Amino acid sequence: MKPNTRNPILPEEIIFEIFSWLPVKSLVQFRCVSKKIYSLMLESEFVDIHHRRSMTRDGGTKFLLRKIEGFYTIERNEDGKTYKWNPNNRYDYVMYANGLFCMWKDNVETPRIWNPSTREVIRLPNLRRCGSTIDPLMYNYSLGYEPEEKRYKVLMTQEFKRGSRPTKNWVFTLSIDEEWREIESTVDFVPSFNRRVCVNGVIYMLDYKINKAIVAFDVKGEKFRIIKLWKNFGSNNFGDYNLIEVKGKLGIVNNSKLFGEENLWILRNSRWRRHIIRFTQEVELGYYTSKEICNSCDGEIVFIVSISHFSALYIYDIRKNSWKYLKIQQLPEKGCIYDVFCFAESVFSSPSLRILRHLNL
Amino acid sequence: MSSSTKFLTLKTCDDKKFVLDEAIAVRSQTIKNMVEDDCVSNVIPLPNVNSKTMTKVIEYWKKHSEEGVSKDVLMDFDKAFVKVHHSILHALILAANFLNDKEILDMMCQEVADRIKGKTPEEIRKEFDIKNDFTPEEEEEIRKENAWAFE
Repeated sequence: MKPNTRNPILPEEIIFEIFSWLPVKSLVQFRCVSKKIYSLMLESEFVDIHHRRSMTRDGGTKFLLRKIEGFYTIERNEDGKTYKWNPNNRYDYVMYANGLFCMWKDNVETPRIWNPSTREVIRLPNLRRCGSTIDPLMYNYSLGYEPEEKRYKVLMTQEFKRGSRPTKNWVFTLSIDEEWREIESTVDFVPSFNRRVCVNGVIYMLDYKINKAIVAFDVKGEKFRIIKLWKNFGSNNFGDYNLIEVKGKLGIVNNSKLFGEENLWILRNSRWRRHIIRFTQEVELGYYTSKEICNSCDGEIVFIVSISHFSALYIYDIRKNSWKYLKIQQLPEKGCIYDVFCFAESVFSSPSLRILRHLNL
Repeated sequence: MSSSTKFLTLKTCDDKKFVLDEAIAVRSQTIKNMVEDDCVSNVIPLPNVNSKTMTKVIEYWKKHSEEGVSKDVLMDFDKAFVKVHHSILHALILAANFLNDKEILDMMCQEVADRIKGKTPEEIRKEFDIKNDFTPEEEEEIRKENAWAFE
Protein backbone atom coordinates (compact mmCIF):
# COMPACT_ATOMS: atom_id res chain seq x y z
CA MET A 1 0.00 0.00 0.00
CA LYS A 2 1.26 3.45 -0.87
CA PRO A 3 1.64 5.56 2.23
CA ASN A 4 0.66 8.86 0.67
CA THR A 5 -2.51 8.24 -1.29
CA ARG A 6 -4.40 10.93 0.62
CA ASN A 7 -3.85 14.53 -0.29
CA PRO A 8 -2.50 16.83 2.34
CA ILE A 9 -5.44 18.72 3.84
CA LEU A 10 -5.48 22.32 2.73
CA PRO A 11 -6.15 25.02 5.32
CA GLU A 12 -9.12 27.35 5.00
CA GLU A 13 -7.17 30.32 3.69
CA ILE A 14 -5.94 28.17 0.81
CA ILE A 15 -9.46 27.02 -0.01
CA PHE A 16 -10.37 30.74 -0.04
CA GLU A 17 -7.52 31.34 -2.54
CA ILE A 18 -8.51 28.44 -4.80
CA PHE A 19 -12.19 29.35 -4.81
CA SER A 20 -11.36 32.94 -5.72
CA TRP A 21 -10.22 31.66 -9.15
CA LEU A 22 -13.44 29.76 -9.91
CA PRO A 23 -16.09 30.80 -12.42
CA VAL A 24 -19.32 31.99 -10.80
CA LYS A 25 -21.28 29.05 -12.15
CA SER A 26 -19.09 26.65 -10.15
CA LEU A 27 -19.25 28.84 -7.05
CA VAL A 28 -23.04 28.92 -7.20
CA GLN A 29 -23.06 25.09 -7.35
CA PHE A 30 -20.65 24.87 -4.44
CA ARG A 31 -22.84 27.02 -2.18
CA CYS A 32 -24.36 23.81 -0.83
CA VAL A 33 -21.00 22.20 0.05
CA SER A 34 -21.12 23.44 3.66
CA LYS A 35 -22.29 26.34 5.79
CA LYS A 36 -18.77 27.71 5.94
CA ILE A 37 -18.43 27.74 2.15
CA TYR A 38 -21.88 29.27 1.83
CA SER A 39 -21.01 32.18 4.08
CA LEU A 40 -17.52 32.55 2.57
CA MET A 41 -19.14 33.49 -0.71
CA LEU A 42 -21.08 36.28 0.98
CA GLU A 43 -18.00 37.89 2.52
CA SER A 44 -17.18 41.19 0.86
CA GLU A 45 -13.47 40.34 1.08
CA PHE A 46 -13.98 37.19 -0.97
CA VAL A 47 -16.41 38.82 -3.41
CA ASP A 48 -13.90 41.61 -4.02
CA ILE A 49 -10.85 39.45 -4.66
CA HIS A 50 -12.85 37.03 -6.80
CA HIS A 51 -14.15 39.92 -8.92
CA ARG A 52 -10.65 41.33 -9.40
CA ARG A 53 -9.43 37.92 -10.53
CA SER A 54 -12.36 37.56 -12.91
CA MET A 55 -11.03 40.57 -14.81
CA THR A 56 -7.98 38.60 -15.90
CA ARG A 57 -9.28 35.03 -15.71
CA ASP A 58 -10.13 33.23 -18.94
CA GLY A 59 -13.87 33.57 -19.46
CA GLY A 60 -14.14 35.95 -16.50
CA THR A 61 -15.31 38.89 -18.58
CA LYS A 62 -18.29 39.10 -20.90
CA PHE A 63 -20.23 41.68 -22.84
CA LEU A 64 -23.79 42.70 -22.11
CA LEU A 65 -25.96 44.20 -24.81
CA ARG A 66 -29.26 45.93 -24.27
CA LYS A 67 -31.77 45.88 -27.07
CA ILE A 68 -35.42 46.78 -27.05
CA GLU A 69 -36.53 43.20 -26.36
CA GLY A 70 -34.08 42.55 -23.56
CA PHE A 71 -30.51 41.76 -22.64
CA TYR A 72 -27.91 39.51 -24.21
CA THR A 73 -24.63 38.34 -22.79
CA ILE A 74 -21.82 37.57 -25.17
CA GLU A 75 -18.92 35.28 -24.40
CA ARG A 76 -15.57 36.75 -25.22
CA ASN A 77 -13.74 33.56 -26.00
CA GLU A 78 -16.34 31.37 -27.66
CA ASP A 79 -16.53 33.19 -30.95
CA GLY A 80 -19.05 35.68 -29.66
CA LYS A 81 -21.59 33.06 -28.56
CA THR A 82 -24.70 34.82 -27.31
CA TYR A 83 -27.03 34.04 -24.43
CA LYS A 84 -30.39 35.73 -24.30
CA TRP A 85 -32.01 36.91 -21.11
CA ASN A 86 -35.71 36.90 -21.17
CA PRO A 87 -36.89 39.50 -18.76
CA ASN A 88 -40.59 40.20 -18.56
CA ASN A 89 -39.82 43.81 -18.05
CA ARG A 90 -37.93 46.29 -20.09
CA TYR A 91 -35.67 48.82 -18.52
CA ASP A 92 -35.00 52.29 -19.82
CA TYR A 93 -31.72 52.94 -18.06
CA VAL A 94 -28.80 50.81 -17.01
CA MET A 95 -25.63 51.58 -15.14
CA TYR A 96 -22.75 49.21 -14.46
CA ALA A 97 -20.33 49.04 -11.56
CA ASN A 98 -18.02 46.24 -10.48
CA GLY A 99 -19.95 43.26 -11.85
CA LEU A 100 -23.44 44.56 -11.04
CA PHE A 101 -26.03 46.47 -13.01
CA CYS A 102 -28.55 48.98 -11.74
CA MET A 103 -31.65 49.18 -13.93
CA TRP A 104 -34.73 51.32 -13.78
CA LYS A 105 -37.64 52.60 -15.77
CA ASP A 106 -38.98 56.03 -16.42
CA ASN A 107 -41.55 57.01 -13.80
CA VAL A 108 -40.97 53.92 -11.71
CA GLU A 109 -39.26 54.52 -8.45
CA THR A 110 -37.69 51.30 -7.43
CA PRO A 111 -34.58 50.28 -9.29
CA ARG A 112 -33.33 46.71 -9.56
CA ILE A 113 -29.81 45.54 -8.95
CA TRP A 114 -28.97 42.71 -11.28
CA ASN A 115 -26.04 40.35 -11.08
CA PRO A 116 -25.98 38.55 -14.44
CA SER A 117 -23.32 36.13 -13.20
CA THR A 118 -25.39 34.70 -10.32
CA ARG A 119 -28.62 35.54 -12.15
CA GLU A 120 -29.97 37.27 -9.09
CA VAL A 121 -32.01 40.41 -9.07
CA ILE A 122 -32.39 42.52 -5.97
CA ARG A 123 -35.24 44.88 -5.51
CA LEU A 124 -34.45 48.03 -3.57
CA PRO A 125 -37.05 49.47 -1.23
CA ASN A 126 -39.39 52.25 -2.16
CA LEU A 127 -38.53 55.75 -1.05
CA ARG A 128 -42.10 56.70 -0.30
CA ARG A 129 -42.12 54.47 2.73
CA CYS A 130 -39.43 56.72 4.17
CA GLY A 131 -41.96 59.51 4.46
CA SER A 132 -41.36 61.58 1.36
CA THR A 133 -44.53 63.07 -0.01
CA ILE A 134 -43.30 65.23 -2.84
CA ASP A 135 -43.79 63.94 -6.35
CA PRO A 136 -40.63 64.72 -8.24
CA LEU A 137 -40.30 64.91 -11.96
CA MET A 138 -37.74 62.22 -12.46
CA TYR A 139 -35.79 59.60 -10.57
CA ASN A 140 -32.25 58.97 -11.47
CA TYR A 141 -30.00 56.23 -10.16
CA SER A 142 -26.26 55.69 -10.20
CA LEU A 143 -24.48 52.61 -8.97
CA GLY A 144 -21.09 52.91 -7.33
CA TYR A 145 -18.55 50.63 -5.76
CA GLU A 146 -16.23 51.71 -3.00
CA PRO A 147 -13.09 49.53 -3.04
CA GLU A 148 -11.80 50.39 0.45
CA GLU A 149 -14.79 49.21 2.44
CA LYS A 150 -15.87 46.99 -0.46
CA ARG A 151 -19.42 48.32 -0.51
CA TYR A 152 -21.89 48.98 -3.28
CA LYS A 153 -24.00 52.11 -3.00
CA VAL A 154 -26.84 53.42 -5.10
CA LEU A 155 -27.21 57.18 -5.45
CA MET A 156 -30.70 58.42 -6.17
CA THR A 157 -31.06 61.90 -7.58
CA GLN A 158 -34.49 63.48 -7.71
CA GLU A 159 -34.88 66.00 -10.44
CA PHE A 160 -37.66 68.54 -10.07
CA LYS A 161 -39.22 70.60 -12.76
CA ARG A 162 -36.37 72.63 -14.09
CA GLY A 163 -35.49 75.49 -11.81
CA SER A 164 -38.37 74.91 -9.45
CA ARG A 165 -36.25 73.28 -6.77
CA PRO A 166 -32.66 72.03 -6.49
CA THR A 167 -32.17 68.32 -6.92
CA LYS A 168 -32.18 66.11 -3.83
CA ASN A 169 -30.08 63.03 -3.23
CA TRP A 170 -30.42 59.78 -1.34
CA VAL A 171 -28.04 56.89 -0.82
CA PHE A 172 -28.67 53.19 -0.30
CA THR A 173 -25.80 50.89 0.73
CA LEU A 174 -26.35 47.31 -0.43
CA SER A 175 -26.32 44.69 2.33
CA ILE A 176 -26.30 47.42 5.01
CA ASP A 177 -29.12 49.92 4.63
CA GLU A 178 -32.74 49.08 5.01
CA GLU A 179 -33.96 52.46 3.84
CA TRP A 180 -32.78 55.28 1.64
CA ARG A 181 -30.75 57.92 3.51
CA GLU A 182 -31.01 61.51 2.37
CA ILE A 183 -27.62 63.16 2.02
CA GLU A 184 -26.54 66.77 1.80
CA SER A 185 -26.96 67.97 -1.77
CA THR A 186 -24.17 70.48 -2.06
CA VAL A 187 -24.29 70.51 -5.84
CA ASP A 188 -27.43 71.12 -7.83
CA PHE A 189 -27.22 69.00 -10.95
CA VAL A 190 -29.18 66.95 -13.45
CA PRO A 191 -27.20 63.89 -14.54
CA SER A 192 -27.45 63.04 -18.21
CA PHE A 193 -28.81 59.65 -19.05
CA ASN A 194 -26.04 58.57 -21.31
CA ARG A 195 -23.16 56.61 -19.95
CA ARG A 196 -21.98 57.36 -16.47
CA VAL A 197 -19.17 55.52 -14.95
CA CYS A 198 -17.79 54.55 -11.57
CA VAL A 199 -14.01 54.60 -11.41
CA ASN A 200 -12.07 53.86 -8.23
CA GLY A 201 -14.88 54.67 -5.86
CA VAL A 202 -16.10 57.80 -7.68
CA ILE A 203 -19.26 58.06 -9.77
CA TYR A 204 -18.87 60.49 -12.68
CA MET A 205 -21.92 61.99 -14.32
CA LEU A 206 -22.28 64.54 -17.09
CA ASP A 207 -24.46 67.44 -16.02
CA TYR A 208 -25.47 69.36 -19.08
CA LYS A 209 -28.32 71.37 -17.63
CA ILE A 210 -26.89 73.35 -14.76
CA ASN A 211 -23.14 73.14 -14.46
CA LYS A 212 -22.15 72.01 -17.96
CA ALA A 213 -19.47 69.96 -16.32
CA ILE A 214 -18.87 66.61 -14.72
CA VAL A 215 -20.30 65.98 -11.29
CA ALA A 216 -18.22 63.54 -9.30
CA PHE A 217 -19.70 61.68 -6.34
CA ASP A 218 -17.29 60.17 -3.87
CA VAL A 219 -18.96 56.88 -2.95
CA LYS A 220 -17.20 56.49 0.41
CA GLY A 221 -17.47 60.05 1.72
CA GLU A 222 -20.81 60.66 -0.03
CA LYS A 223 -19.68 64.11 -1.19
CA PHE A 224 -20.09 65.87 -4.52
CA ARG A 225 -17.63 67.95 -6.47
CA ILE A 226 -17.57 69.54 -9.90
CA ILE A 227 -14.93 68.79 -12.52
CA LYS A 228 -14.63 71.35 -15.29
CA LEU A 229 -14.41 70.17 -18.88
CA TRP A 230 -11.68 71.27 -21.24
CA LYS A 231 -11.85 74.43 -23.32
CA ASN A 232 -13.75 74.13 -26.59
CA PHE A 233 -15.78 71.22 -25.26
CA GLY A 234 -18.62 70.85 -27.72
CA SER A 235 -21.42 71.48 -25.28
CA ASN A 236 -24.09 71.60 -27.97
CA ASN A 237 -24.03 67.89 -28.54
CA PHE A 238 -23.66 66.52 -25.06
CA GLY A 239 -25.49 63.38 -26.04
CA ASP A 240 -22.62 62.32 -28.25
CA TYR A 241 -20.25 61.93 -25.35
CA ASN A 242 -19.69 58.85 -23.28
CA LEU A 243 -17.90 58.60 -19.99
CA ILE A 244 -15.68 55.56 -19.79
CA GLU A 245 -12.97 54.10 -17.63
CA VAL A 246 -9.51 53.99 -19.12
CA LYS A 247 -6.98 52.07 -17.07
CA GLY A 248 -8.37 53.33 -13.77
CA LYS A 249 -8.88 56.89 -15.01
CA LEU A 250 -11.91 58.79 -16.23
CA GLY A 251 -12.15 59.17 -19.99
CA ILE A 252 -14.59 60.91 -22.32
CA VAL A 253 -15.05 59.85 -25.89
CA ASN A 254 -17.32 61.12 -28.61
CA ASN A 255 -19.40 58.39 -30.24
CA SER A 256 -20.98 60.36 -33.02
CA LYS A 257 -18.77 59.04 -35.77
CA LEU A 258 -16.82 55.98 -36.63
CA PHE A 259 -14.33 57.01 -39.23
CA GLY A 260 -11.11 58.91 -39.42
CA GLU A 261 -10.05 59.59 -35.89
CA GLU A 262 -11.65 60.46 -32.60
CA ASN A 263 -10.47 62.28 -29.54
CA LEU A 264 -10.36 60.49 -26.25
CA TRP A 265 -9.91 62.77 -23.27
CA ILE A 266 -8.42 61.29 -20.16
CA LEU A 267 -8.43 62.98 -16.76
CA ARG A 268 -4.97 62.63 -15.26
CA ASN A 269 -3.90 64.61 -12.19
CA SER A 270 -6.86 66.99 -12.59
CA ARG A 271 -5.96 67.71 -16.21
CA TRP A 272 -7.56 66.60 -19.45
CA ARG A 273 -5.10 64.90 -21.78
CA ARG A 274 -5.98 64.10 -25.36
CA HIS A 275 -5.44 60.72 -26.95
CA ILE A 276 -6.29 60.12 -30.58
CA ILE A 277 -8.02 56.91 -31.62
CA ARG A 278 -7.51 56.13 -35.28
CA PHE A 279 -10.12 53.94 -36.86
CA THR A 280 -8.80 51.37 -39.26
CA GLN A 281 -10.48 50.69 -42.57
CA GLU A 282 -12.18 47.56 -41.23
CA VAL A 283 -13.81 49.62 -38.50
CA GLU A 284 -14.88 52.33 -40.92
CA LEU A 285 -17.73 50.24 -42.23
CA GLY A 286 -19.93 53.13 -43.05
CA TYR A 287 -23.47 51.80 -43.09
CA TYR A 288 -24.17 50.98 -39.50
CA THR A 289 -27.59 51.22 -37.98
CA SER A 290 -26.33 51.64 -34.47
CA LYS A 291 -23.14 51.79 -32.57
CA GLU A 292 -22.18 52.14 -28.97
CA ILE A 293 -19.05 52.45 -26.92
CA CYS A 294 -18.01 50.89 -23.70
CA ASN A 295 -14.77 50.21 -21.97
CA SER A 296 -13.69 46.75 -21.11
CA CYS A 297 -12.07 45.68 -17.90
CA ASP A 298 -8.46 46.04 -18.91
CA GLY A 299 -7.89 49.32 -20.71
CA GLU A 300 -9.58 48.36 -23.94
CA ILE A 301 -12.32 50.41 -25.53
CA VAL A 302 -15.10 48.58 -27.28
CA PHE A 303 -17.02 49.92 -30.23
CA ILE A 304 -20.06 47.97 -31.26
CA VAL A 305 -21.36 48.23 -34.78
CA SER A 306 -24.63 46.92 -36.14
CA ILE A 307 -25.05 46.74 -39.83
CA SER A 308 -28.23 45.52 -41.49
CA HIS A 309 -27.33 41.84 -41.26
CA PHE A 310 -24.85 41.51 -38.44
CA SER A 311 -23.34 43.05 -35.35
CA ALA A 312 -19.73 43.12 -34.41
CA LEU A 313 -17.48 44.37 -31.69
CA TYR A 314 -14.34 46.30 -32.45
CA ILE A 315 -12.01 46.35 -29.51
CA TYR A 316 -9.40 49.06 -29.36
CA ASP A 317 -6.40 48.46 -27.15
CA ILE A 318 -5.21 51.85 -25.96
CA ARG A 319 -1.78 50.59 -24.89
CA LYS A 320 -0.92 48.87 -28.15
CA ASN A 321 -2.96 51.23 -30.32
CA SER A 322 -4.37 48.16 -32.08
CA TRP A 323 -7.77 46.69 -32.95
CA LYS A 324 -9.39 43.31 -32.36
CA TYR A 325 -12.60 42.07 -33.93
CA LEU A 326 -15.36 39.86 -32.53
CA LYS A 327 -18.39 38.91 -34.58
CA ILE A 328 -21.51 38.38 -32.50
CA GLN A 329 -23.34 35.11 -33.15
CA GLN A 330 -27.08 34.53 -32.91
CA LEU A 331 -28.11 38.10 -32.27
CA PRO A 332 -31.47 39.06 -33.76
CA GLU A 333 -30.84 41.40 -36.62
CA LYS A 334 -33.55 43.89 -35.98
CA GLY A 335 -33.51 46.74 -33.55
CA CYS A 336 -30.96 49.11 -32.22
CA ILE A 337 -28.43 48.24 -29.64
CA TYR A 338 -28.99 50.74 -26.86
CA ASP A 339 -26.12 49.91 -24.61
CA VAL A 340 -23.08 47.74 -24.50
CA PHE A 341 -21.14 46.94 -21.37
CA CYS A 342 -18.19 44.81 -20.56
CA PHE A 343 -18.54 43.16 -17.18
CA ALA A 344 -16.40 40.94 -15.03
CA GLU A 345 -18.09 38.13 -13.15
CA SER A 346 -19.06 38.74 -9.54
CA VAL A 347 -20.48 36.38 -6.93
CA PHE A 348 -22.08 39.26 -5.00
CA SER A 349 -25.35 38.37 -3.36
CA SER A 350 -27.42 40.16 -0.77
CA PRO A 351 -29.63 37.78 1.19
CA SER A 352 -30.82 40.63 3.42
CA LEU A 353 -32.75 42.10 0.51
CA ARG A 354 -35.45 40.44 -1.45
CA ILE A 355 -33.94 38.43 -4.24
CA LEU A 356 -36.13 37.86 -7.24
CA ARG A 357 -35.14 34.91 -9.35
CA HIS A 358 -34.07 35.52 -12.88
CA LEU A 359 -37.33 34.39 -14.41
CA ASN A 360 -39.24 37.35 -13.09
CA LEU A 361 -36.66 40.04 -13.48
CA MET B 1 28.47 36.61 -11.31
CA SER B 2 29.71 39.27 -8.94
CA SER B 3 31.98 38.41 -6.08
CA SER B 4 29.34 39.52 -3.62
CA THR B 5 27.10 36.55 -4.44
CA LYS B 6 25.87 35.10 -1.20
CA PHE B 7 24.62 31.60 -0.76
CA LEU B 8 22.02 30.34 1.63
CA THR B 9 21.50 26.79 2.79
CA LEU B 10 17.92 25.61 3.10
CA LYS B 11 17.11 22.49 5.06
CA THR B 12 13.85 20.66 4.37
CA CYS B 13 11.86 18.59 6.85
CA ASP B 14 13.45 15.35 5.60
CA ASP B 15 16.92 16.75 6.39
CA LYS B 16 18.00 17.43 2.81
CA LYS B 17 20.09 20.53 2.23
CA PHE B 18 19.82 22.92 -0.71
CA VAL B 19 22.49 25.55 -1.36
CA LEU B 20 21.04 28.48 -3.22
CA ASP B 21 22.02 31.95 -4.39
CA GLU B 22 20.48 34.41 -1.94
CA ALA B 23 19.21 36.57 -4.80
CA ILE B 24 17.08 33.62 -5.93
CA ALA B 25 16.00 32.42 -2.50
CA VAL B 26 14.54 35.82 -1.60
CA ARG B 27 11.76 35.17 -4.10
CA SER B 28 10.30 33.67 -0.95
CA GLN B 29 9.01 36.54 1.14
CA THR B 30 9.50 34.41 4.24
CA ILE B 31 13.20 33.90 3.50
CA LYS B 32 13.57 37.54 2.46
CA ASN B 33 12.20 38.70 5.80
CA MET B 34 14.62 36.41 7.62
CA VAL B 35 17.54 37.76 5.60
CA GLU B 36 16.49 41.37 6.14
CA ASP B 37 15.99 40.86 9.87
CA ASP B 38 19.44 39.36 9.92
CA CYS B 39 18.25 36.25 11.66
CA VAL B 40 19.84 33.90 9.15
CA SER B 41 22.41 31.59 10.63
CA ASN B 42 24.14 29.10 8.41
CA VAL B 43 21.14 26.98 7.67
CA ILE B 44 17.52 28.03 7.18
CA PRO B 45 15.20 25.25 8.33
CA LEU B 46 12.01 24.73 6.35
CA PRO B 47 10.05 22.45 8.67
CA ASN B 48 6.93 22.43 6.48
CA VAL B 49 8.51 21.58 3.14
CA ASN B 50 9.90 18.25 1.97
CA SER B 51 12.82 17.88 -0.42
CA LYS B 52 10.73 16.65 -3.34
CA THR B 53 8.57 19.76 -3.19
CA MET B 54 11.53 22.06 -2.59
CA THR B 55 13.23 20.70 -5.71
CA LYS B 56 10.20 21.75 -7.74
CA VAL B 57 10.10 25.20 -6.12
CA ILE B 58 13.79 25.77 -6.82
CA GLU B 59 13.33 24.60 -10.40
CA TYR B 60 10.68 27.33 -10.77
CA TRP B 61 12.74 30.00 -9.04
CA LYS B 62 15.80 29.30 -11.18
CA LYS B 63 13.87 29.38 -14.44
CA HIS B 64 12.16 32.63 -13.52
CA SER B 65 15.47 34.20 -12.43
CA GLU B 66 17.29 33.37 -15.65
CA GLU B 67 18.19 36.36 -17.75
CA GLY B 68 17.04 36.80 -21.31
CA VAL B 69 14.23 34.22 -21.19
CA SER B 70 11.34 35.22 -23.42
CA LYS B 71 7.78 35.51 -22.13
CA ASP B 72 6.68 32.65 -24.38
CA VAL B 73 9.33 30.31 -23.00
CA LEU B 74 8.26 31.15 -19.46
CA MET B 75 4.63 30.59 -20.33
CA ASP B 76 5.42 27.15 -21.75
CA PHE B 77 7.51 26.38 -18.69
CA ASP B 78 4.65 27.39 -16.36
CA LYS B 79 2.16 25.32 -18.34
CA ALA B 80 4.31 22.23 -17.97
CA PHE B 81 5.14 23.06 -14.36
CA VAL B 82 1.53 22.87 -13.16
CA LYS B 83 0.85 19.53 -14.85
CA VAL B 84 1.68 17.46 -11.82
CA HIS B 85 -0.09 14.88 -9.74
CA HIS B 86 -2.71 16.06 -7.35
CA SER B 87 -0.72 15.35 -4.20
CA ILE B 88 2.30 17.27 -5.51
CA LEU B 89 0.03 20.15 -6.44
CA HIS B 90 -1.32 20.33 -2.91
CA ALA B 91 2.19 20.01 -1.43
CA LEU B 92 3.38 22.83 -3.69
CA ILE B 93 0.52 25.05 -2.58
CA LEU B 94 1.34 24.46 1.08
CA ALA B 95 5.04 25.12 0.39
CA ALA B 96 4.31 28.31 -1.56
CA ASN B 97 2.04 29.43 1.26
CA PHE B 98 4.71 28.78 3.88
CA LEU B 99 7.45 30.37 1.78
CA ASN B 100 5.07 33.22 1.01
CA ASP B 101 5.65 33.12 -2.75
CA LYS B 102 2.56 34.78 -4.21
CA GLU B 103 3.49 33.94 -7.78
CA ILE B 104 3.65 30.18 -7.29
CA LEU B 105 0.69 30.21 -4.93
CA ASP B 106 -1.56 32.04 -7.41
CA MET B 107 -0.49 29.83 -10.29
CA MET B 108 -1.10 26.63 -8.34
CA CYS B 109 -4.43 27.78 -6.93
CA GLN B 110 -5.56 28.65 -10.45
CA GLU B 111 -4.58 25.18 -11.57
CA VAL B 112 -6.58 23.54 -8.77
CA ALA B 113 -9.55 25.80 -9.59
CA ASP B 114 -9.30 24.69 -13.22
CA ARG B 115 -9.33 21.06 -12.16
CA ILE B 116 -12.30 21.33 -9.80
CA LYS B 117 -14.57 23.77 -11.61
CA GLY B 118 -16.62 21.00 -13.21
CA LYS B 119 -16.96 18.86 -10.09
CA THR B 120 -20.11 18.21 -8.08
CA PRO B 121 -20.56 19.51 -4.51
CA GLU B 122 -20.03 15.93 -3.23
CA GLU B 123 -16.70 15.71 -5.04
CA ILE B 124 -15.66 19.09 -3.60
CA ARG B 125 -16.37 17.86 -0.06
CA LYS B 126 -14.21 14.82 -0.71
CA GLU B 127 -11.46 16.83 -2.37
CA PHE B 128 -11.05 19.27 0.52
CA ASP B 129 -12.24 17.00 3.32
CA ILE B 130 -15.19 19.27 4.12
CA LYS B 131 -18.06 17.99 6.22
CA ASN B 132 -21.54 18.72 4.95
CA ASP B 133 -23.29 20.41 7.86
CA PHE B 134 -26.49 21.22 6.02
CA THR B 135 -29.59 19.16 6.72
CA PRO B 136 -30.88 17.35 3.61
CA GLU B 137 -33.78 19.84 3.53
CA GLU B 138 -31.47 22.85 3.70
CA GLU B 139 -29.25 21.44 0.99
CA GLU B 140 -32.23 20.75 -1.23
CA GLU B 141 -33.43 24.31 -0.71
CA ILE B 142 -30.09 25.82 -1.74
CA ARG B 143 -29.87 23.54 -4.76
CA LYS B 144 -33.36 24.55 -5.81
CA GLU B 145 -32.55 28.25 -5.49
CA ASN B 146 -29.49 27.80 -7.67
CA ALA B 147 -30.91 25.21 -10.04
CA TRP B 148 -29.64 27.00 -13.18
CA ALA B 149 -26.04 26.31 -12.24
CA PHE B 150 -26.64 22.55 -12.16
CA GLU B 151 -28.19 22.43 -15.63
